[in-house]
Amino acid sequence: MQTHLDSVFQGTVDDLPSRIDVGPLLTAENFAKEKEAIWRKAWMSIGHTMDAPEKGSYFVYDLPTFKISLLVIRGQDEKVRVFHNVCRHRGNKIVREGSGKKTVFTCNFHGWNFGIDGKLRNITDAKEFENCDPDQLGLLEVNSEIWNSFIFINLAEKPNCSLQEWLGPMFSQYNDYFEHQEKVASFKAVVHGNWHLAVNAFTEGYHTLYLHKSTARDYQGGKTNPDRHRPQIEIFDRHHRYSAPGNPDKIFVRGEKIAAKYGRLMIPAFDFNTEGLPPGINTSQNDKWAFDVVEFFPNMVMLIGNCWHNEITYWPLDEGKTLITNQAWAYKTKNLGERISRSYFRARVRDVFREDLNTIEAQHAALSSGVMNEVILSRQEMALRHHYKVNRLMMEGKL
Amino acid sequence: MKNFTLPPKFNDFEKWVADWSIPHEAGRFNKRVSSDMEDLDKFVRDLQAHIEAMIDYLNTQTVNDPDLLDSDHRRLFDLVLMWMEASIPFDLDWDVNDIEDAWSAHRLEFLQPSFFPDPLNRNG
Repeated sequence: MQTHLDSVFQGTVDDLPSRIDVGPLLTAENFAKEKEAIWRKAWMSIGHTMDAPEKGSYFVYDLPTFKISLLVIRGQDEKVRVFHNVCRHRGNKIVREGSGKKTVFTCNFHGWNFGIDGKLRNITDAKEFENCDPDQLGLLEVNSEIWNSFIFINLAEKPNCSLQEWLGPMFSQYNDYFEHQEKVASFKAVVHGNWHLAVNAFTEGYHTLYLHKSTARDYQGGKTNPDRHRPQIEIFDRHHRYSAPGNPDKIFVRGEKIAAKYGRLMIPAFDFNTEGLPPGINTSQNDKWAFDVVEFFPNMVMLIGNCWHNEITYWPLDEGKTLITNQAWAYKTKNLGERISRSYFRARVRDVFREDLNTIEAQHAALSSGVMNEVILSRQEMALRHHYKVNRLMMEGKL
Repeated sequence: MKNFTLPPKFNDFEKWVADWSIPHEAGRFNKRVSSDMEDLDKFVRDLQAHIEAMIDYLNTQTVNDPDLLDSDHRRLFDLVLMWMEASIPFDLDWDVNDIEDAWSAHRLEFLQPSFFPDPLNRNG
Protein backbone atom coordinates (compact mmCIF):
# COMPACT_ATOMS: atom_id res chain seq x y z
CA MET A 1 0.00 0.00 0.00
CA GLN A 2 1.20 3.49 -0.83
CA THR A 3 2.11 5.28 2.39
CA HIS A 4 3.37 8.52 1.01
CA LEU A 5 2.25 11.11 -1.48
CA ASP A 6 4.64 13.35 -3.38
CA SER A 7 3.14 16.70 -4.20
CA VAL A 8 3.11 17.81 -7.80
CA PHE A 9 4.13 21.43 -8.30
CA GLN A 10 2.81 23.41 -11.24
CA GLY A 11 4.48 26.67 -12.19
CA THR A 12 7.86 28.06 -11.28
CA VAL A 13 9.01 26.99 -7.83
CA ASP A 14 12.78 26.74 -8.22
CA ASP A 15 13.31 30.38 -7.34
CA LEU A 16 11.13 30.35 -4.24
CA PRO A 17 13.32 30.62 -1.13
CA SER A 18 12.79 28.25 1.78
CA ARG A 19 14.04 30.83 4.29
CA ILE A 20 12.23 34.11 4.74
CA ASP A 21 13.38 36.93 6.97
CA VAL A 22 9.92 38.00 8.07
CA GLY A 23 10.95 40.41 10.84
CA PRO A 24 11.69 43.41 8.60
CA LEU A 25 8.26 43.00 6.99
CA LEU A 26 6.55 43.60 10.31
CA THR A 27 7.69 47.18 10.88
CA ALA A 28 5.57 50.33 10.58
CA GLU A 29 7.99 51.71 8.03
CA ASN A 30 7.63 48.66 5.80
CA PHE A 31 3.88 48.61 6.12
CA ALA A 32 3.65 52.25 5.03
CA LYS A 33 5.48 51.26 1.84
CA GLU A 34 3.33 48.16 1.36
CA LYS A 35 0.17 50.23 1.57
CA GLU A 36 1.19 52.19 -1.47
CA ALA A 37 3.05 49.50 -3.43
CA ILE A 38 0.64 46.64 -2.81
CA TRP A 39 -2.67 47.57 -1.25
CA ARG A 40 -3.25 50.62 -3.39
CA LYS A 41 -2.34 48.78 -6.58
CA ALA A 42 -3.92 45.37 -6.14
CA TRP A 43 -7.32 44.21 -7.28
CA MET A 44 -9.15 43.26 -4.08
CA SER A 45 -12.51 41.67 -3.38
CA ILE A 46 -15.00 43.64 -1.29
CA GLY A 47 -18.16 41.59 -1.69
CA HIS A 48 -20.64 40.19 -4.13
CA THR A 49 -23.10 41.51 -6.63
CA MET A 50 -25.75 39.54 -4.74
CA ASP A 51 -25.22 41.93 -1.83
CA ALA A 52 -26.85 44.60 -4.01
CA PRO A 53 -29.46 42.42 -5.71
CA GLU A 54 -31.84 44.97 -7.26
CA LYS A 55 -31.69 48.34 -8.98
CA GLY A 56 -31.02 50.87 -6.23
CA SER A 57 -29.75 48.24 -3.78
CA TYR A 58 -26.66 49.36 -1.96
CA PHE A 59 -24.29 48.46 0.83
CA VAL A 60 -21.63 50.32 2.74
CA TYR A 61 -18.16 48.80 2.86
CA ASP A 62 -15.75 50.43 5.27
CA LEU A 63 -12.17 49.72 4.29
CA PRO A 64 -10.00 50.32 7.32
CA THR A 65 -6.58 50.00 5.68
CA PHE A 66 -7.05 53.40 4.05
CA LYS A 67 -9.71 54.64 6.47
CA ILE A 68 -12.16 55.02 3.62
CA SER A 69 -15.80 54.12 3.25
CA LEU A 70 -17.21 52.76 0.02
CA LEU A 71 -20.78 52.86 -1.20
CA VAL A 72 -21.67 50.04 -3.57
CA ILE A 73 -24.83 50.64 -5.63
CA ARG A 74 -26.61 48.71 -8.36
CA GLY A 75 -27.70 51.23 -10.98
CA GLN A 76 -30.73 51.46 -13.23
CA ASP A 77 -28.64 49.76 -15.90
CA GLU A 78 -28.00 46.81 -13.50
CA LYS A 79 -24.33 47.71 -13.30
CA VAL A 80 -22.84 47.53 -9.81
CA ARG A 81 -20.63 50.57 -9.18
CA VAL A 82 -18.39 51.42 -6.27
CA PHE A 83 -18.14 54.99 -5.01
CA HIS A 84 -16.41 56.76 -2.18
CA ASN A 85 -19.13 57.19 0.44
CA VAL A 86 -18.49 60.90 0.63
CA CYS A 87 -20.68 63.89 -0.16
CA ARG A 88 -18.93 66.17 -2.63
CA HIS A 89 -20.07 69.24 -0.71
CA ARG A 90 -18.07 68.99 2.52
CA GLY A 91 -17.08 65.36 2.80
CA ASN A 92 -19.82 64.03 5.03
CA LYS A 93 -20.40 60.26 5.00
CA ILE A 94 -23.56 59.84 2.98
CA VAL A 95 -24.72 56.44 4.24
CA ARG A 96 -23.49 55.65 7.72
CA GLU A 97 -23.62 51.86 7.54
CA GLY A 98 -25.56 48.82 6.44
CA SER A 99 -27.50 48.19 3.30
CA GLY A 100 -30.86 48.79 1.68
CA LYS A 101 -32.53 50.11 -1.39
CA LYS A 102 -32.97 53.73 -2.46
CA THR A 103 -33.85 55.75 -5.51
CA VAL A 104 -31.70 58.65 -4.38
CA PHE A 105 -28.95 59.15 -1.81
CA THR A 106 -29.38 62.33 0.21
CA CYS A 107 -26.66 63.72 2.42
CA ASN A 108 -28.21 64.53 5.78
CA PHE A 109 -25.86 67.47 6.34
CA HIS A 110 -27.15 69.96 3.74
CA GLY A 111 -29.45 67.84 1.61
CA TRP A 112 -27.33 67.35 -1.52
CA ASN A 113 -28.56 64.27 -3.29
CA PHE A 114 -27.14 61.77 -5.72
CA GLY A 115 -28.73 59.26 -8.08
CA ILE A 116 -28.11 55.54 -8.03
CA ASP A 117 -25.69 56.12 -10.90
CA GLY A 118 -23.68 58.41 -8.59
CA LYS A 119 -24.54 61.59 -10.45
CA LEU A 120 -25.30 64.69 -8.43
CA ARG A 121 -29.03 65.28 -8.78
CA ASN A 122 -29.62 68.35 -6.69
CA ILE A 123 -27.75 71.07 -4.83
CA THR A 124 -29.98 72.65 -2.26
CA ASP A 125 -30.09 76.45 -2.37
CA ALA A 126 -27.94 76.15 -5.48
CA LYS A 127 -27.93 79.86 -6.32
CA GLU A 128 -25.77 80.56 -3.29
CA PHE A 129 -22.91 78.47 -4.72
CA GLU A 130 -20.40 79.96 -7.12
CA ASN A 131 -18.79 78.05 -9.96
CA CYS A 132 -20.49 74.80 -9.08
CA ASP A 133 -21.09 72.43 -11.98
CA PRO A 134 -23.27 69.50 -10.87
CA ASP A 135 -21.99 67.41 -13.77
CA GLN A 136 -18.53 67.51 -12.24
CA LEU A 137 -19.66 66.74 -8.71
CA GLY A 138 -20.98 63.20 -8.84
CA LEU A 139 -19.86 60.66 -6.28
CA LEU A 140 -16.21 59.79 -6.73
CA GLU A 141 -16.08 56.40 -8.42
CA VAL A 142 -13.60 53.70 -7.50
CA ASN A 143 -12.18 51.38 -10.16
CA SER A 144 -14.15 48.17 -9.97
CA GLU A 145 -14.64 45.03 -12.00
CA ILE A 146 -16.81 41.97 -11.55
CA TRP A 147 -15.47 38.42 -11.52
CA ASN A 148 -18.27 35.88 -11.39
CA SER A 149 -20.26 37.43 -8.54
CA PHE A 150 -17.26 39.06 -6.82
CA ILE A 151 -16.83 42.81 -6.78
CA PHE A 152 -13.16 43.68 -7.03
CA ILE A 153 -11.82 47.19 -6.53
CA ASN A 154 -8.52 48.81 -7.35
CA LEU A 155 -7.58 52.00 -5.51
CA ALA A 156 -4.94 53.13 -7.97
CA GLU A 157 -5.83 56.18 -10.00
CA LYS A 158 -5.22 54.02 -13.06
CA PRO A 159 -4.82 50.27 -12.46
CA ASN A 160 -1.71 48.68 -13.92
CA CYS A 161 -3.73 45.84 -15.41
CA SER A 162 -7.25 44.54 -15.84
CA LEU A 163 -8.83 42.18 -13.34
CA GLN A 164 -8.59 39.43 -15.95
CA GLU A 165 -4.85 39.90 -16.22
CA TRP A 166 -4.58 40.14 -12.43
CA LEU A 167 -6.33 36.82 -11.88
CA GLY A 168 -4.48 35.06 -14.67
CA PRO A 169 -5.70 31.60 -15.70
CA MET A 170 -8.15 31.44 -12.80
CA PHE A 171 -10.25 34.17 -14.37
CA SER A 172 -12.20 31.77 -16.57
CA GLN A 173 -12.06 28.65 -14.40
CA TYR A 174 -14.92 29.18 -11.93
CA ASN A 175 -17.88 29.96 -14.13
CA ASP A 176 -21.27 28.88 -12.82
CA TYR A 177 -19.96 27.90 -9.38
CA PHE A 178 -20.33 30.70 -6.82
CA GLU A 179 -23.79 31.71 -8.01
CA HIS A 180 -25.26 28.44 -6.75
CA GLN A 181 -24.38 29.11 -3.14
CA GLU A 182 -25.67 31.51 -0.50
CA LYS A 183 -24.02 33.21 2.41
CA VAL A 184 -24.76 31.32 5.60
CA ALA A 185 -22.52 32.88 8.22
CA SER A 186 -20.11 35.67 8.72
CA PHE A 187 -17.83 36.60 11.54
CA LYS A 188 -14.80 38.75 12.05
CA ALA A 189 -11.84 39.12 14.33
CA VAL A 190 -9.27 41.84 14.85
CA VAL A 191 -6.00 40.02 15.26
CA HIS A 192 -2.91 41.59 16.78
CA GLY A 193 -0.69 40.31 14.03
CA ASN A 194 0.69 41.40 10.69
CA TRP A 195 -1.35 40.68 7.57
CA HIS A 196 1.32 38.41 6.08
CA LEU A 197 1.11 36.09 9.07
CA ALA A 198 -2.66 36.25 8.96
CA VAL A 199 -2.73 35.16 5.32
CA ASN A 200 -0.04 32.51 5.86
CA ALA A 201 -2.10 30.92 8.62
CA PHE A 202 -4.57 29.64 6.03
CA THR A 203 -2.40 28.71 3.05
CA GLU A 204 -0.67 25.49 3.94
CA GLY A 205 -1.91 22.08 5.00
CA TYR A 206 1.12 21.01 7.01
CA HIS A 207 -0.37 22.42 10.22
CA THR A 208 -3.67 20.61 10.00
CA LEU A 209 -2.37 17.35 11.44
CA TYR A 210 -1.23 19.12 14.59
CA LEU A 211 -3.14 22.34 15.12
CA HIS A 212 -6.53 20.83 14.32
CA LYS A 213 -6.04 17.52 16.10
CA SER A 214 -8.91 18.32 18.48
CA THR A 215 -11.40 19.83 16.06
CA ALA A 216 -10.86 17.91 12.82
CA ARG A 217 -8.58 15.09 13.73
CA ASP A 218 -8.96 12.79 10.73
CA TYR A 219 -10.46 14.95 8.00
CA GLN A 220 -7.43 14.89 5.72
CA GLY A 221 -4.72 12.44 4.74
CA GLY A 222 -5.38 8.96 6.01
CA LYS A 223 -3.34 5.77 5.76
CA THR A 224 -2.09 6.44 2.23
CA ASN A 225 -1.12 10.03 2.91
CA PRO A 226 -0.35 10.25 6.62
CA ASP A 227 1.59 13.50 6.36
CA ARG A 228 -1.27 15.08 4.45
CA HIS A 229 0.82 16.17 1.49
CA ARG A 230 -1.05 18.31 -0.97
CA PRO A 231 -1.72 16.39 -4.21
CA GLN A 232 -0.89 19.47 -6.25
CA ILE A 233 0.28 23.01 -5.61
CA GLU A 234 -0.12 25.50 -8.47
CA ILE A 235 1.91 28.67 -8.59
CA PHE A 236 0.59 31.48 -10.78
CA ASP A 237 2.08 34.94 -11.32
CA ARG A 238 0.43 36.52 -8.28
CA HIS A 239 -1.73 33.84 -6.73
CA HIS A 240 -1.56 30.16 -5.88
CA ARG A 241 -3.85 27.24 -5.38
CA TYR A 242 -3.68 23.76 -3.94
CA SER A 243 -5.96 20.85 -3.15
CA ALA A 244 -6.46 19.34 0.26
CA PRO A 245 -6.45 15.53 0.36
CA GLY A 246 -9.46 13.93 1.99
CA ASN A 247 -9.17 10.91 4.23
CA PRO A 248 -11.04 7.87 2.88
CA ASP A 249 -10.68 6.21 6.29
CA LYS A 250 -12.25 9.03 8.24
CA ILE A 251 -14.55 7.89 11.01
CA PHE A 252 -17.69 9.96 11.13
CA VAL A 253 -18.67 11.13 14.60
CA ARG A 254 -22.30 11.21 15.74
CA GLY A 255 -23.03 14.78 14.67
CA GLU A 256 -21.44 14.23 11.28
CA LYS A 257 -23.55 11.12 10.70
CA ILE A 258 -26.73 13.03 11.47
CA ALA A 259 -25.67 15.98 9.33
CA ALA A 260 -24.77 13.57 6.50
CA LYS A 261 -28.17 11.92 6.71
CA TYR A 262 -30.05 15.18 6.25
CA GLY A 263 -27.79 17.27 4.05
CA ARG A 264 -24.65 17.41 1.98
CA LEU A 265 -21.23 16.79 3.43
CA MET A 266 -19.16 19.87 4.07
CA ILE A 267 -15.86 20.58 5.75
CA PRO A 268 -14.66 18.73 7.88
CA ALA A 269 -16.34 15.67 6.31
CA PHE A 270 -16.17 15.03 2.61
CA ASP A 271 -17.79 12.83 -0.02
CA PHE A 272 -15.08 13.35 -2.69
CA ASN A 273 -17.80 14.15 -5.19
CA THR A 274 -16.51 16.45 -7.94
CA GLU A 275 -19.35 16.05 -10.38
CA GLY A 276 -20.28 19.21 -12.22
CA LEU A 277 -17.52 21.34 -10.77
CA PRO A 278 -15.80 23.93 -12.97
CA PRO A 279 -12.27 23.32 -14.32
CA GLY A 280 -10.57 25.45 -11.65
CA ILE A 281 -11.52 23.05 -8.88
CA ASN A 282 -9.51 19.92 -8.08
CA THR A 283 -7.32 20.55 -11.10
CA SER A 284 -5.17 17.49 -10.38
CA GLN A 285 -8.34 15.36 -10.41
CA ASN A 286 -7.48 13.72 -7.12
CA ASP A 287 -10.03 11.01 -6.36
CA LYS A 288 -9.94 11.76 -2.61
CA TRP A 289 -10.28 15.47 -3.11
CA ALA A 290 -11.59 17.40 -0.11
CA PHE A 291 -11.34 21.07 -1.04
CA ASP A 292 -9.08 23.65 -2.64
CA VAL A 293 -7.30 26.55 -1.03
CA VAL A 294 -6.68 29.62 -3.17
CA GLU A 295 -4.81 32.74 -2.19
CA PHE A 296 -5.92 35.80 -4.11
CA PHE A 297 -3.01 38.03 -3.25
CA PRO A 298 -3.14 40.11 -1.13
CA ASN A 299 -6.49 40.25 0.58
CA MET A 300 -8.42 37.00 0.21
CA VAL A 301 -7.99 33.29 0.80
CA MET A 302 -10.74 30.99 -0.33
CA LEU A 303 -11.44 27.43 0.74
CA ILE A 304 -13.47 25.90 -2.06
CA GLY A 305 -15.41 22.68 -1.65
CA ASN A 306 -17.94 20.94 -3.85
CA CYS A 307 -21.01 22.61 -2.34
CA TRP A 308 -19.50 25.23 -0.05
CA HIS A 309 -16.77 27.79 0.10
CA ASN A 310 -15.29 30.09 2.70
CA GLU A 311 -14.00 33.55 1.91
CA ILE A 312 -11.40 34.83 4.34
CA THR A 313 -10.74 38.50 3.72
CA TYR A 314 -7.91 40.53 5.22
CA TRP A 315 -7.57 44.26 5.80
CA PRO A 316 -4.46 45.44 7.61
CA LEU A 317 -5.20 48.07 10.24
CA ASP A 318 -1.53 48.76 10.76
CA GLU A 319 1.71 46.77 10.72
CA GLY A 320 0.64 44.72 13.72
CA LYS A 321 -3.11 44.47 13.47
CA THR A 322 -5.35 42.85 10.87
CA LEU A 323 -9.10 42.68 10.43
CA ILE A 324 -10.06 39.19 9.28
CA THR A 325 -13.54 38.42 8.04
CA ASN A 326 -14.71 34.90 7.32
CA GLN A 327 -17.80 34.42 5.23
CA ALA A 328 -19.18 30.93 4.88
CA TRP A 329 -21.19 30.07 1.78
CA ALA A 330 -23.02 26.86 1.05
CA TYR A 331 -25.55 25.16 -1.19
CA LYS A 332 -29.07 26.49 -1.18
CA THR A 333 -31.26 24.31 0.97
CA LYS A 334 -34.55 22.66 0.05
CA ASN A 335 -35.76 21.80 3.54
CA LEU A 336 -35.11 22.38 7.24
CA GLY A 337 -33.08 19.20 7.59
CA GLU A 338 -30.57 20.57 5.13
CA ARG A 339 -30.53 23.82 7.09
CA ILE A 340 -29.69 21.93 10.26
CA SER A 341 -27.01 19.89 8.50
CA ARG A 342 -25.44 22.99 7.02
CA SER A 343 -25.50 24.72 10.38
CA TYR A 344 -23.72 21.82 12.04
CA PHE A 345 -20.78 21.89 9.64
CA ARG A 346 -20.65 25.67 9.96
CA ALA A 347 -20.27 25.31 13.73
CA ARG A 348 -17.53 22.71 13.31
CA VAL A 349 -15.45 24.82 10.96
CA ARG A 350 -15.84 27.84 13.24
CA ASP A 351 -13.77 26.04 15.85
CA VAL A 352 -11.15 25.09 13.27
CA PHE A 353 -10.97 28.72 12.17
CA ARG A 354 -10.44 29.85 15.77
CA GLU A 355 -7.46 27.53 16.06
CA ASP A 356 -5.95 29.06 12.92
CA LEU A 357 -6.46 32.56 14.27
CA ASN A 358 -4.72 31.77 17.48
CA THR A 359 -1.28 31.20 15.98
CA ILE A 360 -1.05 34.64 14.39
CA GLU A 361 -0.58 36.75 17.51
CA ALA A 362 2.03 34.46 19.02
CA GLN A 363 3.99 34.44 15.78
CA HIS A 364 3.80 38.19 15.41
CA ALA A 365 5.09 38.77 18.92
CA ALA A 366 8.03 36.44 18.40
CA LEU A 367 8.98 37.48 14.88
CA SER A 368 8.76 41.20 15.55
CA SER A 369 10.93 40.83 18.65
CA GLY A 370 13.93 39.88 16.55
CA VAL A 371 14.72 36.68 18.46
CA MET A 372 14.98 34.75 15.21
CA ASN A 373 16.04 35.95 11.82
CA GLU A 374 14.04 33.81 9.47
CA VAL A 375 11.23 31.35 9.20
CA ILE A 376 11.86 27.95 7.62
CA LEU A 377 9.40 26.78 5.00
CA SER A 378 8.96 23.22 3.79
CA ARG A 379 7.91 22.21 0.30
CA GLN A 380 4.43 21.75 1.72
CA GLU A 381 4.57 25.45 2.56
CA MET A 382 5.41 26.40 -1.03
CA ALA A 383 2.45 28.78 -1.14
CA LEU A 384 4.04 30.85 1.62
CA ARG A 385 7.32 30.93 -0.26
CA HIS A 386 5.42 32.23 -3.25
CA HIS A 387 3.46 34.76 -1.20
CA TYR A 388 6.69 36.44 -0.16
CA LYS A 389 8.04 36.44 -3.70
CA VAL A 390 4.89 38.18 -4.94
CA ASN A 391 5.20 40.63 -2.09
CA ARG A 392 8.80 41.40 -2.98
CA LEU A 393 8.07 41.84 -6.68
CA MET A 394 5.19 44.20 -5.99
CA MET A 395 7.32 46.20 -3.58
CA GLU A 396 9.95 46.48 -6.30
CA GLY A 397 7.31 47.56 -8.81
CA LYS A 398 7.95 44.50 -10.97
CA LEU A 399 4.50 42.92 -10.80
CA MET B 1 -45.14 36.31 29.23
CA LYS B 2 -42.81 34.13 27.20
CA ASN B 3 -44.12 30.96 25.72
CA PHE B 4 -41.96 27.84 25.79
CA THR B 5 -44.20 25.37 24.00
CA LEU B 6 -43.10 22.93 21.33
CA PRO B 7 -45.20 21.00 18.81
CA PRO B 8 -47.27 18.50 20.87
CA LYS B 9 -45.27 15.50 19.70
CA PHE B 10 -42.24 16.87 21.51
CA ASN B 11 -43.73 18.55 24.55
CA ASP B 12 -41.66 16.30 26.85
CA PHE B 13 -38.73 18.52 25.93
CA GLU B 14 -40.31 21.86 26.70
CA LYS B 15 -38.29 22.00 29.91
CA TRP B 16 -35.24 22.77 27.78
CA VAL B 17 -36.75 25.53 25.68
CA ALA B 18 -36.24 28.50 28.00
CA ASP B 19 -32.49 28.10 28.23
CA TRP B 20 -31.54 26.03 25.23
CA SER B 21 -33.71 27.08 22.29
CA ILE B 22 -31.63 29.98 21.05
CA PRO B 23 -32.35 31.66 17.72
CA HIS B 24 -28.86 32.94 16.92
CA GLU B 25 -25.63 31.18 16.04
CA ALA B 26 -23.70 33.51 18.34
CA GLY B 27 -26.06 32.73 21.20
CA ARG B 28 -25.78 28.99 20.67
CA PHE B 29 -22.03 29.16 20.52
CA ASN B 30 -21.88 31.25 23.69
CA LYS B 31 -24.26 28.86 25.42
CA ARG B 32 -21.94 25.98 24.63
CA VAL B 33 -18.76 27.66 25.80
CA SER B 34 -20.37 29.12 28.92
CA SER B 35 -22.14 25.94 30.10
CA ASP B 36 -20.38 23.41 32.22
CA MET B 37 -19.93 19.94 30.78
CA GLU B 38 -22.39 18.39 33.19
CA ASP B 39 -25.22 20.60 31.98
CA LEU B 40 -24.25 20.12 28.36
CA ASP B 41 -24.18 16.38 28.91
CA LYS B 42 -27.65 16.32 30.47
CA PHE B 43 -29.08 18.27 27.56
CA VAL B 44 -27.34 16.20 24.90
CA ARG B 45 -28.27 12.89 26.52
CA ASP B 46 -31.91 13.80 27.00
CA LEU B 47 -32.48 14.72 23.37
CA GLN B 48 -30.11 12.27 21.75
CA ALA B 49 -32.58 9.49 21.04
CA HIS B 50 -35.12 11.93 19.65
CA ILE B 51 -33.04 14.31 17.59
CA GLU B 52 -33.55 12.51 14.29
CA ALA B 53 -37.28 12.26 14.92
CA MET B 54 -37.27 16.00 15.50
CA ILE B 55 -35.47 16.65 12.22
CA ASP B 56 -37.76 14.22 10.38
CA TYR B 57 -40.71 16.10 11.80
CA LEU B 58 -39.28 19.49 10.83
CA ASN B 59 -38.69 18.15 7.34
CA THR B 60 -42.43 17.58 6.97
CA GLN B 61 -42.94 21.32 7.21
CA THR B 62 -43.45 22.90 3.85
CA VAL B 63 -41.18 25.84 4.46
CA ASN B 64 -37.43 25.98 4.03
CA ASP B 65 -37.01 29.31 5.82
CA PRO B 66 -37.13 29.02 9.63
CA ASP B 67 -38.38 32.60 9.85
CA LEU B 68 -41.62 31.40 8.29
CA LEU B 69 -42.24 28.75 10.94
CA ASP B 70 -44.79 29.29 13.66
CA SER B 71 -43.36 29.85 17.13
CA ASP B 72 -43.64 26.27 18.36
CA HIS B 73 -41.86 24.89 15.32
CA ARG B 74 -39.25 27.63 15.38
CA ARG B 75 -38.42 26.80 18.98
CA LEU B 76 -38.04 23.15 18.04
CA PHE B 77 -35.77 24.07 15.12
CA ASP B 78 -33.57 26.22 17.36
CA LEU B 79 -33.47 23.48 19.99
CA VAL B 80 -32.19 21.00 17.41
CA LEU B 81 -29.51 23.45 16.27
CA MET B 82 -28.46 23.91 19.89
CA TRP B 83 -28.20 20.16 20.29
CA MET B 84 -25.95 19.94 17.25
CA GLU B 85 -23.73 22.63 18.73
CA ALA B 86 -23.72 21.09 22.21
CA SER B 87 -22.86 17.64 20.88
CA ILE B 88 -19.50 18.76 19.51
CA PRO B 89 -17.36 18.50 22.69
CA PHE B 90 -18.65 14.96 23.35
CA ASP B 91 -18.30 13.76 19.77
CA LEU B 92 -14.71 14.97 19.69
CA ASP B 93 -13.82 13.57 23.13
CA TRP B 94 -13.06 16.88 24.75
CA ASP B 95 -12.99 17.14 28.53
CA VAL B 96 -14.13 20.73 28.33
CA ASN B 97 -16.77 22.76 26.53
CA ASP B 98 -14.33 24.51 24.24
CA ILE B 99 -11.04 23.83 22.53
CA GLU B 100 -7.96 24.84 24.38
CA ASP B 101 -5.39 27.07 22.74
CA ALA B 102 -7.85 28.65 20.35
CA TRP B 103 -8.93 32.16 19.59
CA SER B 104 -11.05 33.35 22.48
CA ALA B 105 -14.76 32.92 21.94
CA HIS B 106 -15.26 36.44 23.23
CA ARG B 107 -13.05 37.94 20.55
CA LEU B 108 -15.00 36.43 17.66
CA GLU B 109 -17.61 38.88 16.44
CA PHE B 110 -20.65 37.47 14.68
CA LEU B 111 -21.73 39.93 12.03
CA GLN B 112 -25.30 41.05 11.81
CA PRO B 113 -27.27 40.17 8.70
CA SER B 114 -27.14 43.77 7.41
CA PHE B 115 -26.42 43.59 3.73
CA PHE B 116 -26.52 39.86 3.39
CA PRO B 117 -29.49 38.50 1.50
CA ASP B 118 -29.95 35.54 3.81
CA PRO B 119 -30.70 36.08 7.49
CA LEU B 120 -27.36 35.19 8.96
CA ASN B 121 -26.27 33.34 12.03
CA ARG B 122 -29.80 32.42 12.88
CA ASN B 123 -31.29 30.12 10.35
CA GLY B 124 -28.95 27.27 9.93
